[in-house]
Amino acid sequence: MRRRPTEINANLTPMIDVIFLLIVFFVLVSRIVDFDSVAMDLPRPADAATERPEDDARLVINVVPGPDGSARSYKMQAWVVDATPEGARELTAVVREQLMRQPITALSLRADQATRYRYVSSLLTALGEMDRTGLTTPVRLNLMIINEEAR
Amino acid sequence: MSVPPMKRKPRSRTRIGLNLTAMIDVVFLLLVYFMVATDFTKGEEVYKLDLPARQGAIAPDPFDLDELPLIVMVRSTGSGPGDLVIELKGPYPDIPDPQALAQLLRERKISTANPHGLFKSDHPILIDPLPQARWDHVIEVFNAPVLAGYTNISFQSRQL
Repeated sequence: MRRRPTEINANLTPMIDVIFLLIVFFVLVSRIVDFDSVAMDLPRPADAATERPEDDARLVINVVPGPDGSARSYKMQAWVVDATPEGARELTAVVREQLMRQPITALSLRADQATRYRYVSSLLTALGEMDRTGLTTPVRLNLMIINEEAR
Repeated sequence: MSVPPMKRKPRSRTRIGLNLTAMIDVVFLLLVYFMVATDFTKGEEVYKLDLPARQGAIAPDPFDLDELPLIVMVRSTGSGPGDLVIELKGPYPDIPDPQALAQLLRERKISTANPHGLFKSDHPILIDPLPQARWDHVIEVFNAPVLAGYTNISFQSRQL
């Protein structure tokens, strides 16, 4: 008896379903990543008396770490300025512009644990000197840390 | 009339098939659910401060202040978690570490359990780190009065 050659059929329908699921998966995952945060080691204080950050609109200011406790720059979204008092003033002007445009309630400050205080101090001083006339929403400053005992 | 017995077809072996397609769909749906439900910033927490006060050209007259702020100075002597020196301006004992600072502040806080304390919970506390102090040491010292229940803590302003 002659044998017909074996026919192999592949049903593509479930494969298309899986591919669409993968697309949805990667679209969702890419939205979760926070592009505002520069990679750095935030301080991890013992027994931290901190609060969870609220989900409302905020601006994240990163003190980008350099070698030996220095700071390369201050970075906020796409704005990058030198880590100097002049750079801090420049960034503060941008922060003020953003605060006038959007109802932002918090400025989050992220600095590496090894960064020397002088680089953070310049930023704090510049933010303190910011002209607040015309700002209707009160703005708070959040110092960001890692609380390993969270949850 | 007899009915001839039905011819039985030879029974083929029973095949058990498992359709994996639906299972893969469910697995991916579960994966997407957990990806969306997971908080990736777990562990990031904040100290909430007001924006630093504007410093005028002239420092405030101490006589105008209702309360003299408590000033806590911080200096780093190394990179380890215990390599810092804390000094509290005033007639206070030596403070070996941030936990001792928290304890000292707690003992001097006015409360229902401690009505003879020195400071109210909103007493102004200024953290004054030296420019070379490490940020993690500064945060450890900042954490101490927050832990002790004080609410008016800020950084000493410095001219740029």
